[in-house]
Amino acid sequence: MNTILEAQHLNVWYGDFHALKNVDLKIQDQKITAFIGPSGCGKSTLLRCFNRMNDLVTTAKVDGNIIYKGTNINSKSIDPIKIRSQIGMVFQKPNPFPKSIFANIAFGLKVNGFKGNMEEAVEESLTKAALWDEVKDRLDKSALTLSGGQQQRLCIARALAVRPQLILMDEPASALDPIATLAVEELIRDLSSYITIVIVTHNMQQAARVSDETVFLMVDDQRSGYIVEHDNTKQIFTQPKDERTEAYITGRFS
Amino acid sequence: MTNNINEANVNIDKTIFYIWTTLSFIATILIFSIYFIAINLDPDIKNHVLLNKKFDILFSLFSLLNIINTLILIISYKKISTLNEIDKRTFKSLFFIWLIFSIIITVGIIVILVPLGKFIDNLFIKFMFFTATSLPLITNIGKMVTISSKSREIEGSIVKSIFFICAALSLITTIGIIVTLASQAWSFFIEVTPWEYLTGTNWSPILKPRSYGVLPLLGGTLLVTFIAILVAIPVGLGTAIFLSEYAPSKIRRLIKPVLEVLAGMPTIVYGYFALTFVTPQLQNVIPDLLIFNALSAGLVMGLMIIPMISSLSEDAMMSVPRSLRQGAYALGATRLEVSLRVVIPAALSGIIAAIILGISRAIGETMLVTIAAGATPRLTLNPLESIQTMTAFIVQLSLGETMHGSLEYNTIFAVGLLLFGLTLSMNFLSHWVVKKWGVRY
Amino acid sequence: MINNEKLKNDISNVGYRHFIGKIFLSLFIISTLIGIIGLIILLIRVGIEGIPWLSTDLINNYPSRKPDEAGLKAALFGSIWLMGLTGLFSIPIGIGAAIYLEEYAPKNKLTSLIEINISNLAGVPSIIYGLLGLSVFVYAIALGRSVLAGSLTMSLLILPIVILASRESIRAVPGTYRDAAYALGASQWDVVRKVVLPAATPGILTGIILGMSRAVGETAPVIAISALVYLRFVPDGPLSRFTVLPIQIYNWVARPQEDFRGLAAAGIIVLLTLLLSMNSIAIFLRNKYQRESEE
Repeated sequence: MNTILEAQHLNVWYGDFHALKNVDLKIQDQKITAFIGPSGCGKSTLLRCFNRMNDLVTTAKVDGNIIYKGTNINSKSIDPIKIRSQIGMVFQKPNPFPKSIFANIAFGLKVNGFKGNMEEAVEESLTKAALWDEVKDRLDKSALTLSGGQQQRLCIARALAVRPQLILMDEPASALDPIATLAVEELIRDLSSYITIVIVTHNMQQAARVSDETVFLMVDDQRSGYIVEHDNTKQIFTQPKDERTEAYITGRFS
Repeated sequence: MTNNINEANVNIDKTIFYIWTTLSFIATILIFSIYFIAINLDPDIKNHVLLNKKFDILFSLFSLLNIINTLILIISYKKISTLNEIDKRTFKSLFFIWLIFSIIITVGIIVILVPLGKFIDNLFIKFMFFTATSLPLITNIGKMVTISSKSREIEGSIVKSIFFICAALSLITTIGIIVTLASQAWSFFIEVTPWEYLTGTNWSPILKPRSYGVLPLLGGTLLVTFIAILVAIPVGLGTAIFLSEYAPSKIRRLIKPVLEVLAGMPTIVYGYFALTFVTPQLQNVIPDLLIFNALSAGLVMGLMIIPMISSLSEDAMMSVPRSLRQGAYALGATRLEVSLRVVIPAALSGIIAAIILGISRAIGETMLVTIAAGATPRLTLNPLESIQTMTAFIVQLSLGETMHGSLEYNTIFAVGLLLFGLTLSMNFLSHWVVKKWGVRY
Repeated sequence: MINNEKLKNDISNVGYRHFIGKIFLSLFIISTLIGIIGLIILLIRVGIEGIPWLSTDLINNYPSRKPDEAGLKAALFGSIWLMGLTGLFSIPIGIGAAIYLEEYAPKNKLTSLIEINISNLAGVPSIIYGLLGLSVFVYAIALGRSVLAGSLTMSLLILPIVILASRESIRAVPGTYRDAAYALGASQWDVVRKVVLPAATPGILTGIILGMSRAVGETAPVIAISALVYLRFVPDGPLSRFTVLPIQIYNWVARPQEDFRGLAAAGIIVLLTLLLSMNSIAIFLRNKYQRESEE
């Protein structure tokens, strides 16, 4: 079992607020790992540590090591730009740029100085995201003309274009209708054959359907998040070791 | 029990109502009599009043209106007493008319009758005069209060009509501007053909040989505007990007008020600055520069419109949702790439609208160019020379008291019409850009 | 398939991209500083030139051909008269229009026409208002070149500002306040008078002060109304002739002698002091309002 990313003793503060406490976690290569837990438990915060998005919040302070392929990427000497161009991210609400579909996919490649055949690269990403057939005739149309589900798959394609080995997804289906959600989930399963995915979800059925590994987080009385249990998904949903996990997945609290 | 109280209220209202109506009549009669007494007693008033024939007409008109007003009130009051049976619409229209009369009377008294009082020397007459003139005002207010306490519905419609008139005043202003400019410009165009006006390259409306080609003024305006825009677009956009994408909120809170001060500075101050500071400084570098020149005026005008362009562009950039920025950062973009490739394209319609409004502002700016750019209508592209803008020409003619109705007087309205047309179309263009290309998030 | 390694190599140009980023950041900072430094130079310049000329004579004397005796009493009082009358007309009308548009106006074509019209009026050059006033108030209504004609003109000029600011603060009053009052059986006018207006007052006052400072600083429309007069008296009534501070300053700037330039700078200091005190009231009210709404 290969570990692609490992968090060691991770602590996050927003100003005085201790958002995440003593997180130790290993993410396995080419698997789908789901973060579940009640709202405010720091799932998204943890996810945002992995590609240094917390750097954009001026009050945020992230302590501890994050080892990605043998390097500690949570160090001052590592440029977050480099990390973000290797680790993709998909957000809660579809956020395509108000540009053409083509320009959306090409954006990441362009800023990262890609000099190859752009048409080919765009087609490849869209095909991987199972969107090519739907949009191939209107690549020059604004991405905002797509439906919500298509927009989210476009955002996934946009992330795929820079060829990441790891994609972080922050509740990618929470703003979508059930049918679009299924399409996105199917896409995520397809991608997992060659890409590692970490997905935050508030929907336990989704975690059970999609993921290989599940991490359950909770908040303590200071509202700080911490990891309760990490195991393979089947284990967590059938025989959780911790009674708090069991209480949560059986719906006794939310 | 409740019925009794209501009846008592109605009785009190009736009494108050009759007092007001009586007062109103007395006031009208008082004004009339004192007016005639005063005219015959005091030769000063007589001279003053007779000098102005309009006064007599207006004065009689107001008194007449006051009587009509009172009559309408009596009619409508009778209808209110039988509130349940009458048609609401008649009701509303009666009140609307009554209201307009009241407003006209009140405004008329303030504007015309009160100032007259200062010509009266006789203390007794002066006292009586003020009493008489202020009575209609007081009674109008009193009537309004009495009636409005009668019924919430009537009160609501009265209040609503007052407010509507306030809002509709803006339409009247626009119509007024258009009618004023167009009618006087019409008198101008009877003597000078629009073709000659719009294509002539020589502007000399005062000195002979006279010539009325507006192109030198238009050219002067555009030259100064061009220089200003050349300064204000890069600097204003740079400021907007810095404030919206880079500056921490502490620095933003420090800089924004400074820019507001810059925007609120009277333009006369910029004129002073351009003439007494910028021009001498520029002359050190460019010896050929004249004292009055387009360059210095344009540069300072650029400074003046920076805050306008920066704050409107910043608003547009701030309204680009954070999620778009995050999406770009997550793909490995630097802050500059996020700003230039995501935020600016997404805010482009707002930024273009800001620039258009900046241009419109520059075209209409008056005092700065009057002071610093000179008064030499000249069709030139050389920014070192003295020129004259459309606005500066209007001020130049306004400085002296130009004869009302003369060709010179009409000239400023012809120039004003062109200026108004230019700025108005710019404003419409900027609205259109936002409407057509603006993305709502 | 794209060559994976090639892309990774391309990404290694991050250092260069950061360098470009820094160059542009410094350009952005310089842009921001241009405005600020421009303002500072302007203020220093006015201070250096004007302070030696500040004296009680400046405020007590009427204009004169001799710089040492010249003052701006007529202009100062003219400005105050203009401000007072302008406020008298524009405040009730501006607030009334704002209330109508926010609380009463039906959503129809007339309303949207009025709204578009108001925002367009805000963009009409001030000299155009001067021409309107000259033609309508000075000649058609025959008020002459009086302070009344001037302030009616100025009222039309600042109305869009007052209306836009008042609308914004009325809109900021939470809808729950209104609902609560309606639920208690209040009429619409009651709600406006007792709920909306009190809550919106600080914002409205800020808008009024902004409009009034615009009125005090404007030169062009007043020149069109009053012409460049040489007055040795303060206005004694609404129909009196008048001049205002910016016109007096213009008058001095336009003269070639150095001394009059100094007087102009001193006049600017008086004008800016007037504006500054008005604006500090506005800022005070805005801060107070913001603090209250945060509590």
